[in-house]
Amino acid sequence: MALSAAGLSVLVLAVTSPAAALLSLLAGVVLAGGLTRGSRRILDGAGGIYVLALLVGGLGDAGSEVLLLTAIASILAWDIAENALSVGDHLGRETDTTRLEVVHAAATLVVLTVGAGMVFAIGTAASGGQPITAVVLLLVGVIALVAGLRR
Amino acid sequence: MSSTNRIVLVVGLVSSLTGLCLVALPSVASLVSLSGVARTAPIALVGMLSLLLAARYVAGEISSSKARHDEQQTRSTEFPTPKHRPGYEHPGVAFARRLGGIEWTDRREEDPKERLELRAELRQAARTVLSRTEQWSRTDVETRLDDGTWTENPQAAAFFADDVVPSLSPWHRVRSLCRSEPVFARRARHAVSELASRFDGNDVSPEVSAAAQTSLDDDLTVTTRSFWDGREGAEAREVSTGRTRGVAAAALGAAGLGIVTLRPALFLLTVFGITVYGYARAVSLPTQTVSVTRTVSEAAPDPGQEIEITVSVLNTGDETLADIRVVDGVPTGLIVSEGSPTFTTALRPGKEATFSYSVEAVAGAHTYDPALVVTRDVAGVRKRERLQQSSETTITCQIREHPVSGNGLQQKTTVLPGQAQSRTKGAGVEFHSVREYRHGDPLSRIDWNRKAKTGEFTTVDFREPHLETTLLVVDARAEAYLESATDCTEPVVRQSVTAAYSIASQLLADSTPVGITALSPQPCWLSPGTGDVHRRQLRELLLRESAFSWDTPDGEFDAIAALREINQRASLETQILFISPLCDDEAREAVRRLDAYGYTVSVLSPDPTVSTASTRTCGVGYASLRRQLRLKELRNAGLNVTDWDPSEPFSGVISRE
Repeated sequence: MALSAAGLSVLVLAVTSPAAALLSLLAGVVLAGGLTRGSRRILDGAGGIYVLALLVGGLGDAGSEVLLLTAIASILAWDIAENALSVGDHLGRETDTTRLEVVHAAATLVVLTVGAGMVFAIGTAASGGQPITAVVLLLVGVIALVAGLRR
Repeated sequence: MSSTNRIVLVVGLVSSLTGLCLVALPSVASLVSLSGVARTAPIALVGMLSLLLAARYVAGEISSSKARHDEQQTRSTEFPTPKHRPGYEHPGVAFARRLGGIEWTDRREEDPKERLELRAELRQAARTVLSRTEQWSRTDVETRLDDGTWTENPQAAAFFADDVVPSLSPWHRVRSLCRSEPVFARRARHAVSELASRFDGNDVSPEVSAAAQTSLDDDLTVTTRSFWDGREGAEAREVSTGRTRGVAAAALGAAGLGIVTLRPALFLLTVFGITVYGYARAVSLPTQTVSVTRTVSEAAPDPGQEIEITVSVLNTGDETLADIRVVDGVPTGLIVSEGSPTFTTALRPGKEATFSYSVEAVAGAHTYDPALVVTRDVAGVRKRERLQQSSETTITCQIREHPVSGNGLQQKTTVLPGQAQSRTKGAGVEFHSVREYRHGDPLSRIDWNRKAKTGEFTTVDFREPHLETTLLVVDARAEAYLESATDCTEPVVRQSVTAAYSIASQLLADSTPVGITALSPQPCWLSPGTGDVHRRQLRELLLRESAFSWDTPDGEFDAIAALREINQRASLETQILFISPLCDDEAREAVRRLDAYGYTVSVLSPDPTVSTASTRTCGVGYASLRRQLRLKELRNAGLNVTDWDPSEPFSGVISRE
C-alpha cells in the first residue's frame, strides 16, 4: 500500500519536473528497502528524500496543485510504511493486521485531503499580488508558532 | 511554558496580526514602500532564520533518534513476545563468556588476569584428562604440555606451550587486523576441543555454537509484566510517537526556500505542512475504555495437552477506538502452539472483538499476567500503553511422575524403614557390640551363654533399626536455569523438579519421611514428614512455589548462608539428596559443604550438556568436560553421584545403580 502511494507521488511529479520525479523514485526505493529490512532509520531517510523531492519540485515549475498532490502521496506513503513497521514491531508478523492498517490509511488520507483542500482554497483565494511585507510578517508568525509549540 | 517560549509566541502573534492587516488593507502596505536593502534584507533574514531552524530540528531529530537507538541497546524496550519462552542460558555460554573476556588490549597489561586464569584452569583439566586417557606418567604429561607434543593440533599445542600473550609474526599481525578474535582465544578453543574430544571419544569442533552466541547476546522481553517493569510504575502512560516532528522541519525548510526564491507553490507547501503539524498537535487521544476477558478451555490440563485461550476485547467507552493493539500476558512457561497471542483491531463503542490461540500445557501453576493494551489515535501521533487487569486466570498442570521402581534409589538413602544403620545402638537384630551389664538392661539382651561360662553378666548391643529422613535439595539458582544443549526450550531445573517429585512420592509410598528445599533466592522449605497430607503439600509446593517457577530467578543469592540455614533446620541424621546439573563450581562447593556438615549426601545430576548432534561445539564440550571433572571430584570425595541424561527415562537411571 505504501508503495502504491509512493508510485503515485512519482507519477504526479513526473508530469512536471523530471528531477523531482527521479528523487521521488529514489525515495520510493529506499522506502521499500526500509520496509523489507524493518529499519526505522532507513524509513526516515526515505522521508528526507521525499522532502528534498518536494523542494526541488517547488523550486522547479511544478504547479501548486501538483505539489500538494505529491505532498499528500509522499506523506501517505511514509505514514503507511511507518505504521506498518510499528504494528510489525508490536505484534509480530503472524498477526492479522489488515483491518487496522486499512483504517489507519483511510483516516490519514482523509486528514491529508481535507488539509490540502483547505490550503488549496486559501491559495487560490489569496493568489493576488500580496505585499511581500505581509508574507514576511506572516512567515515570522509561523516560525514563532512552530518554535513555541515544539518545546 | 517558559518565559522565552511566551515571548516567542507573542512576537509571532503580533507579527501574524500585522501581516493579516496588511493582507486585508493593501492600502496600508502601499504607504510603507520600501526599496533597496531595506526591502531585501528582512526577506533574506527571515528566509535564513527559517532554514537555520529547520536545519536545527533535523539535526536534533537525528541525534535524538540516535539516543533512542542507544537506549534500546542498553535497556530492553522491545515489545513483549509472549509466544515464546525466555531464552535460558545455553550450557556453552560460560565458555563463550570467558573467551569474550579476553581482549586484544590485554596484551598491554603486565599480567593479564583473564588469560592466566583460563590457562591455569585448562591446564588442570588437561592434566586430569591426559593422565586418564593416555597412560602417561605425571611428569610425562607436564613435559608434553610444556613442549606442545601432547597433540597433533598446532593451535592447541601452542596454547600451553607458547606465551600467554603470544608474540606474533608480521604475517599474523596483518591477519589479526581483519579478525576480532585474539590469537589466545582461538588457541583456547582448539585446546578445549582437543581435550574434550579425547575425554569422551566424540569429536568436538573448535567452534563456539551459534546457539551459545545468541544466548549470550540477546535478552528477550517475553512477558508483559517484565516489559512493564522496565518502565515507571504507573498503571498507564501516554507517549507521543514523535511521528510528525519531521513535518515541521520540512515545512520550515520549504518556507525558507520559498521566501528566498519567491515561489508561491512553496508557500502553499509550507501552509500544508503547518496544517498537518497543527492537526497532529491538536488531535486528542480517546480515553481508553477497553475491557479484556479471557476464557480458558481447560484450567487443569494434563502435561502436553493443548488448551485454547479465547480473549475478547470490548470497547466500553463512547468513542471509537481506531487503533487497538493487544498483547496477552501469556505466562513464562507456556508456549503458544497455534495462533498468536497478539491482536489488533479498530472498535466502535460497545463492540467486541475476539481472538483465540492455543498453548501447550506444561507442569506448573501458570498465572496469567495482565494483557498489554496499546491504543493510538487515528493519525497515530499519540499512544497510550496500559496493563489491562482482568480476572485472574491460572492454568494448573500436574507434574508427570516418572515411574520409579525398586528400592535401589541410593546406596545410602533408605527406602524402607529399618534398613538404615543408625549410629545409636540398642535393641535390634544386627550385632553391634558387647558391654558390661548395667543395672536395668533388659533381660533379653543379656548374653546368657557367657553368664553360664564365666559367671559375668554382659549385655549385647544391637544396631537400632532406624527411620532415616530424607531431604531433597533442588538446585534452583539462576546458574541452574540452563537449557539443554539439544534444541530444547526447557530449563534443566524442570527436570530436577520432576525427578524430585518422583523420588519423593516413591519414598512417601514407603512411608519414609521426605522434606524438600530449594537452593534459590526464593526461600522454600518443607520439613520432612509422611502421610497423605504431607504428600499433597509437597506436590503443591513443587507446583506453585516461585523457587521452582519457569522464570530464571534474579537477585543476589548467598549460597553459603542458605546452606547454613539448611544445616540449622535439618537434623544431622537426615540424608540429603542434592539435585543439580552441577554446571558451576558453586554447586560443587554446596555439595562439599553439606558433606562437611556431616550429612550423608547423595547427588543426582541431570546433564544439560548431552547433545544429539554428532559433533559438539567447544562451548558445550568445555561445559561437559568441566562437569565431568566435578562429578569425578565428588566421587573421589566418597559421595554417591548419579549422572542422569534427561533424554533417558528416569527409572532407567535409578535401576542402573
